[in-house]
Amino acid sequence: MAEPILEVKNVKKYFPIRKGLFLKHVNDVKAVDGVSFELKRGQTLGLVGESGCGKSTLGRTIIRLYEATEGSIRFKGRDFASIGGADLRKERQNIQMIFQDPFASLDPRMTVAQILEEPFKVQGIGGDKKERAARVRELLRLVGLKASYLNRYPHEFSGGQRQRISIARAMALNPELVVADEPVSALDVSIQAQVLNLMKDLQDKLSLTYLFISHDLAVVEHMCDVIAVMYLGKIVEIAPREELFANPMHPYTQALMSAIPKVGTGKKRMSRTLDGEVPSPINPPSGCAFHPRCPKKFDKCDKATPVLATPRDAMAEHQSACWLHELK
Amino acid sequence: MSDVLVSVRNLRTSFFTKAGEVKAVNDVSYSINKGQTLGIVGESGCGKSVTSYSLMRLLESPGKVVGGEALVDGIDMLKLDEKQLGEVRGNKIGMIFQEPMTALNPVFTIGYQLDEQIMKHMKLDKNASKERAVEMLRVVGIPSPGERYSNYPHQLSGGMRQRAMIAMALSCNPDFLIADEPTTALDVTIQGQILELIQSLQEKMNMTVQFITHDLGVISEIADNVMVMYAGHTVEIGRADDIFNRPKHPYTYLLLESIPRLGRHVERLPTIEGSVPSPLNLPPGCPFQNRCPRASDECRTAMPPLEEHADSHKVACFHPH
Repeated sequence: MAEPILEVKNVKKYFPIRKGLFLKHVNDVKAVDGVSFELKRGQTLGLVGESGCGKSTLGRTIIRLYEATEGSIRFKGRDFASIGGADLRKERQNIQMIFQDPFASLDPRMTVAQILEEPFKVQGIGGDKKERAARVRELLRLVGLKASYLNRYPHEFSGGQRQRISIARAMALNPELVVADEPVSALDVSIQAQVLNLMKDLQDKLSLTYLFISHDLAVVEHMCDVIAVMYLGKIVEIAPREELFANPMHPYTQALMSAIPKVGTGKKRMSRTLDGEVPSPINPPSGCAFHPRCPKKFDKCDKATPVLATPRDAMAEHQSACWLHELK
Repeated sequence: MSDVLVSVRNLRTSFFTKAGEVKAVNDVSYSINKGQTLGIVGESGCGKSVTSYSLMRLLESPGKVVGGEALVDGIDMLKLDEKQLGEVRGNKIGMIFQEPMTALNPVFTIGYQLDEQIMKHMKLDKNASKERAVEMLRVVGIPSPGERYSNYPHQLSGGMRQRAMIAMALSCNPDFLIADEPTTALDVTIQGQILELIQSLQEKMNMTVQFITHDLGVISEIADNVMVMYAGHTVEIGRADDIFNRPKHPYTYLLLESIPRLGRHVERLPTIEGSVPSPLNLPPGCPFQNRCPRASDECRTAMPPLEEHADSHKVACFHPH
């Protein structure tokens, strides 16, 4: 069995809120509040949830764009959360990121060739000018773009092409782990399939491991082997894809699934699956953070926080954090 | 029973840019019966929003309606002057937008903005208007509407702003509602709440709805009829069930194949190769020909007419499925 390439243990990311003349620390935005999971080499793990659930913050914390407030992140068995300087830069070759907005993540004043060469410059690798140029052309071919695009600027490309360029940039240093944060959300539907297929092809060709962040359950189902559902900074349920969709156990996962409009099932009387909105992560509700919106809550839910565990009638890899499972 | 409320005939809208004329809407025709919902679906730049803006007369220079008519309850919207438009907008037709902040003024309270139009169209005094405004906020499901009445837009969350905008659009009981991507910026659970709200208000007020979105799932669950647009043309129009379960046009067919769907796991998604041609130089013939696996020489020279294929199911294609 494949070994875990990424181990995340009890990671927290709090953003301090400061007030007053002396910027007194008054409270925290608990964006990620104790998340643990393992990601096996060659697999794709999906983080799914609504805006504000902490999925992007978690992705950025893992790649060290943010520093974790607490917890450990291990990459290939070695500590990644607390290394710094040259060690960090070297290790970053192996972990790359694809961002949501291909309009914001490419420097408008750099040509495609410059954008793709930059990772080699930063790392000081890739040989001389000629070798780098050859590698850059190879990258373009890898993502299905013509070599004649090399001297063009990002504004000359469509959204789908730009996302291909940012994927090429992420692939430049032969990473092992790629964190993709909503990589197709900004693209038109007919272009999404092209980019998703490209990501799958690259995964096969380069044996990549993906951490795939998305709000779209259908896209996550298509891409991921294991899926973690997040709500208000915590994973509420995690399971292999088929198991999660066949047997969703957490009331939030169930609500999320039934809220997704389905194509071709005909006009229907809409029903609100969930009332209310996601509460503020500054003062999350007591007990289970989902209890104010949960249709199945009972007296225990606002008193104690349920932890991720395998419910009695589920398979071993399936974990859910809900007090209901104890009742059965 | 099935009286037509909205009838758009041969609508043509162009943008006259420095680079040339961009034909954003090409000869688009459709009608909507009273109380029904027409979904207009397509990708960015297909002309779905411009169609609605043309009808509402919200186009700004360099955009211009160059032909056709747009009848709403017998009135041709394209022939009204500014004063008459002011009477019709808000009163007969309401519109909600994707981004509520484009419709809400940040420097006035929600209540002020609601009162403004209620007093104008319903000829109510200040007190009666406030009563109506608070009632509307309650109808759209805003908690403690009395307090929210005196809030500014920035004090509300995204979902609440969307509700406030819907309250504004519906405050004068319009017969016709145009909803332009009203749930695109919202999370799925909030989207469900908003769709439920629009639907229940539609039933209560027997409203006719034109719903624009790129989300095939949303349109499938809310629309009676669907029009699919591509590069400014109607490529297919018909009953929602026909469009989603028996698509005829290769574009509709491929689009439905290419989206990941829950419970239909495939290793690879079928794709539509290439991208939408530039609206500045559309190829002659069918606008989809450069991406269409069924394209023949005929498609490269002549624009296929929109023809009835089966009962009220029209397709513009020489080689339909």
